[in-house]
Amino acid sequence: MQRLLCLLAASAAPALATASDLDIRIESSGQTSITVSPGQSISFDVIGELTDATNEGLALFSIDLTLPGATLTPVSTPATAAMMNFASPLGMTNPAGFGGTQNGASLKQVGGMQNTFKNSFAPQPSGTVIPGIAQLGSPEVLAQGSFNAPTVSGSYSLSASNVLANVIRAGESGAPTWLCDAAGTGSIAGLDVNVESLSQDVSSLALGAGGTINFSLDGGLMSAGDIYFLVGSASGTTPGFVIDGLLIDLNYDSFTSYMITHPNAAPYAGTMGVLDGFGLGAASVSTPPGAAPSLAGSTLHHAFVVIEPSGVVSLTSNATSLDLLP
Amino acid sequence: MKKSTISFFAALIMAPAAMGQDLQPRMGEPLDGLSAAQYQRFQDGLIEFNTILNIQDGLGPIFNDNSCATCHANPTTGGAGAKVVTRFGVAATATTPFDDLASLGGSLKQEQGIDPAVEEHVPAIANVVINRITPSTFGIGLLESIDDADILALAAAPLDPNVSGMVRMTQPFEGGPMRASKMGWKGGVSSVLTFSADASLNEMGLTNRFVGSENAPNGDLALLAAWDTIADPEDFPDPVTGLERIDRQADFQKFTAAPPQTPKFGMAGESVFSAIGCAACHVSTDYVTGPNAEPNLSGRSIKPYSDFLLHDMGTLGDGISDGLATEQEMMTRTLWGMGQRENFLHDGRVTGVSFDQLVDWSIQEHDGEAAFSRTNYNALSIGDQAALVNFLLSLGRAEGDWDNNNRVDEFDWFFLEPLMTGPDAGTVTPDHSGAVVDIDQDGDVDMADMALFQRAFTH
Repeated sequence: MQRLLCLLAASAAPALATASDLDIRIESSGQTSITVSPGQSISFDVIGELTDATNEGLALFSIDLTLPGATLTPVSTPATAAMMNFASPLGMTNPAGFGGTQNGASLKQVGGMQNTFKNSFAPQPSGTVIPGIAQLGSPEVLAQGSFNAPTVSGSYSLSASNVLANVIRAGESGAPTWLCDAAGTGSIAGLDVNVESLSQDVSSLALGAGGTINFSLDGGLMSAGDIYFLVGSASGTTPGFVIDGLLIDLNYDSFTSYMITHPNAAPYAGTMGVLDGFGLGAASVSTPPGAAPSLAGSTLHHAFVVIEPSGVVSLTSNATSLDLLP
Repeated sequence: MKKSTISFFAALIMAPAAMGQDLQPRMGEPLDGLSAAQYQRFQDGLIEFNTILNIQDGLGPIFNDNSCATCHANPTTGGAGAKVVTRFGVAATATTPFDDLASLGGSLKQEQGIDPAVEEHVPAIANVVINRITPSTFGIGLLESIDDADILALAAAPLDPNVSGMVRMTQPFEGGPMRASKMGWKGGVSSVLTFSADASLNEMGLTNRFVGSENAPNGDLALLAAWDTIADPEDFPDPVTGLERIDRQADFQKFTAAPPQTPKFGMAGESVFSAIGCAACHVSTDYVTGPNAEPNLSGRSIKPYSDFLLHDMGTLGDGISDGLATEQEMMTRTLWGMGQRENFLHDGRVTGVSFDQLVDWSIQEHDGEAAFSRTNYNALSIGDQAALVNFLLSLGRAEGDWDNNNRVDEFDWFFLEPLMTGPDAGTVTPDHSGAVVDIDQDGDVDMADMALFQRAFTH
């Protein structure tokens, strides 16, 4: 009987079927959606959590990260004991390291594996397995990194894909090694990144009462010291028009033409100027009580462009909406 | 601990994987995708395969050994073995056919007896005495499932004008139509159950519902009567499952996976293999298994490297006539798993040297219809010969098993660790040393491969 048991144990190679999945979500300062200025430096966390407790925690993970419009650089070398165990030399990674392998603007295979097979001959991995990582109810920050937001206004998502994960098999004690099973890919929640370079303090103006609308312009650091133009449209945002290859979300009309040819003219102020050392600027529109009542019910849109010293438009902002009320 | 308890726990720890890309099962492991019931039968069969019979169980009076696994042992239970059995007979003359000396206990000599009084000897009249090594049983359920039409087609349209194989149709013990035989050195067995029933009698002396009479020691019926004290059939149904030993043995063999092959495709040596004519008989295309009473055995793509036809092997014939198979005819052996074998050819004469020497020696012994291929091999460059050897070494290799011992362990990692390339390297070809661990065969060794490699480790 002893022999039979040994034979059974020796042939126990197929992995245990398991329902464990690895959920991934990406956050920035605890938020899953952020609004930032163009080119702003953003830090983020990749958080993982297994979907059930039928395992002894994460043994390996690998994810690809992509953010259209931005170039991602490798995530940071782990600093916590748990995650250091996934990075060389305690753990094992691709030659490019735990932070991922750069593939154009994206990152491939961020992550690594623990020394579940208790390597002691090869140079790495050399760590001692830490069980229980990212188990259900104990989400783990798997990776931390930062990126510069896209320079073009719009909505983006820092997303994860190609999630690979192994878990330590339930009941394993590490003697002689830690057996591992595949984990599936659970939910993946990316970080929504809304790049806005133009905002305004209120969204409507009562013509009867009159008032002032303040615009905040944020071209990002890369636009510091550059000239800007704030322009408007009375005919909507689509299809917009292209200038120097960049789309500006305003339909070109006579109002647009007027603002271009009459910068800083009342009732507007500050529609043309120079962005400050942080790439910031301000503009406004003020109307006295009872002005232009015939415009009530219409909507104006505004956007700005940044012009490099060479004369080329380097940035087009998002469009904001202003409802004109009676 | 009772057998049923062992089986229960074994089933708990060995249920097949279900997620992501799967590793190929290693030799001796069950097919992936088995149902829970089939998996239990595999486990019960494994226990049966390892069970040592005693006289009260029906062992003997004459036998070769007392359990299946005693012989089918390498690299694990169910595999090939170095143990040989002896066949004898009287060679044909101009006027008489081959005589298997059945009346004197031929053509198989049982090596042992339950008492020295019954032990067999090779009759003095025999002038043909040969050995046969223990064949592997891995994946033979899949072989049984190959559609006969595929084999008949190969016979009808040989892949090379130098060869002309013959199908051997035999009747399964369990009934049904004649089937193309895919087991046996001479192609005499067409079902796993037939193989189990036949081997139980002839190798262990266990009579069963298909073969109910014992072999008489050297044909001596009086001696048999004196020593055969267990009523026939000695095999009997389990009161719970209704299955006999031969059924459980068959279940284990039926549900074992095909030997792995790493890398799975693309090695230069396989092209050499085909170019010099090896694949004329050891066909290198996939079979897709046909209908089977066990649905999970159907529709599987397998590559055993055999046409399952009888070929005239000239001097490599074993000199034994068996049914339609003449003295010179042998059925093409499967090559899957050969990278972990240590004995080659039907009698195991090729042994005791390095793998490349085993291959070279085996090829030099090929004759008859295979002579042209041997000639082609001898004309190869040293590089092409080496590529051929490397390809043959891949047959039976598990993914990540650098040292090819059917285990993935720390020693393998020592050699594989420097081969990590990261994603999209595009440098790891099927002939690259890293191909052993480029499990997804995408040209790199990266975390995707590591995810599989990590799971390949076993205790």
